[in-house]
Amino acid sequence: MSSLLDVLGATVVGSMVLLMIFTSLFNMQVINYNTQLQIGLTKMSEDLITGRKTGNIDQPGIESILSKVGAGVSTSTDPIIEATSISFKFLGQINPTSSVSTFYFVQESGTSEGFPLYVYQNDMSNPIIGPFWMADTLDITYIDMNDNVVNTPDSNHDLIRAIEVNLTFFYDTYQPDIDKRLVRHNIVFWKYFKNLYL
Amino acid sequence: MNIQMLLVLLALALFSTMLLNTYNIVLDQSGLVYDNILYLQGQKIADRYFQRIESELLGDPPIFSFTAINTIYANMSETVTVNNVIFNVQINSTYCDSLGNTPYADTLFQKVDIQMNCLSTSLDTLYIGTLASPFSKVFFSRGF
Repeated sequence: MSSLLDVLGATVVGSMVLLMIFTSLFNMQVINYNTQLQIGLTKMSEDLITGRKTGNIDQPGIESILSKVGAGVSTSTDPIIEATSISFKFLGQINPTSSVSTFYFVQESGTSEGFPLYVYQNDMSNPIIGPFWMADTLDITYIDMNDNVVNTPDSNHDLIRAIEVNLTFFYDTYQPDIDKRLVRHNIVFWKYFKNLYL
Repeated sequence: MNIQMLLVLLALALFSTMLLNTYNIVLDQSGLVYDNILYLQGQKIADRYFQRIESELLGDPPIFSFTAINTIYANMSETVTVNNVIFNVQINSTYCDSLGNTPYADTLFQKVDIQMNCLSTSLDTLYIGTLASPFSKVFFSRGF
């Protein structure tokens, strides 16, 4: 009887240790996997904002496109066409020898996959960048010459001198728990339109 | 209680210590990644102030003169909140030479230094740019 109790006791303790080992390994894998996802998401988001080089080709980032606001546009023309919290349409020159283009930086209608972000140039049906899926809606704030927020930007284009862009990209996580949280990367960046200061 | 049970308990205690340590290392690595995200955001905040100063110096006449910029940003403290993280920003502007050296200052050039801090994921203070190594940019006077 005593040996049987020893065997049972050893089985119980052994099972607990095994369970602890497996749970720990699983948890560590999940943390590592999510950390890896976060690194990938951060890199992709930063590349989208600041641009990247593929081989010898420079892929312009959103910051670079936004810096074209008003470039090559005559002073008699309003370089800003639309300015809302989810869209910004403007005129600008991609380089000193090109003609003036219309750019459209916009978050379109959300789906179950998130909110898609696009950038268009002249052709409003074929984006040059996007879709990039965001967890939340795009949030653009317009800033005037004195660094104050422009409350009704679409009817005060002449006051706009800079924008603050707030976007959040996301990945689904590995853990299928009911309380799971998405891997998110929130970026806030500012772009001052130097052409509008000249 | 026999010696075997004691040995099993000892093994469990030792194993748990090892496990806790491994968890700690994994979580430290995760914390490093999140702190780096704060660094990236900090760089964007510093870039915002540099862009703002560049823009304020543009135009004919500019919004602020070169000397006014030096006065405004001589010792400015601001807080910027991004994604519920408060960044305490300290900006200093000093006249310098064309290489950014202050001992040979010239009123044609000024160096703007930006440093900031925020609360890291481990609740320590995270310094993004320090007094010895701030984000720096040298501006040149256009004569206004």
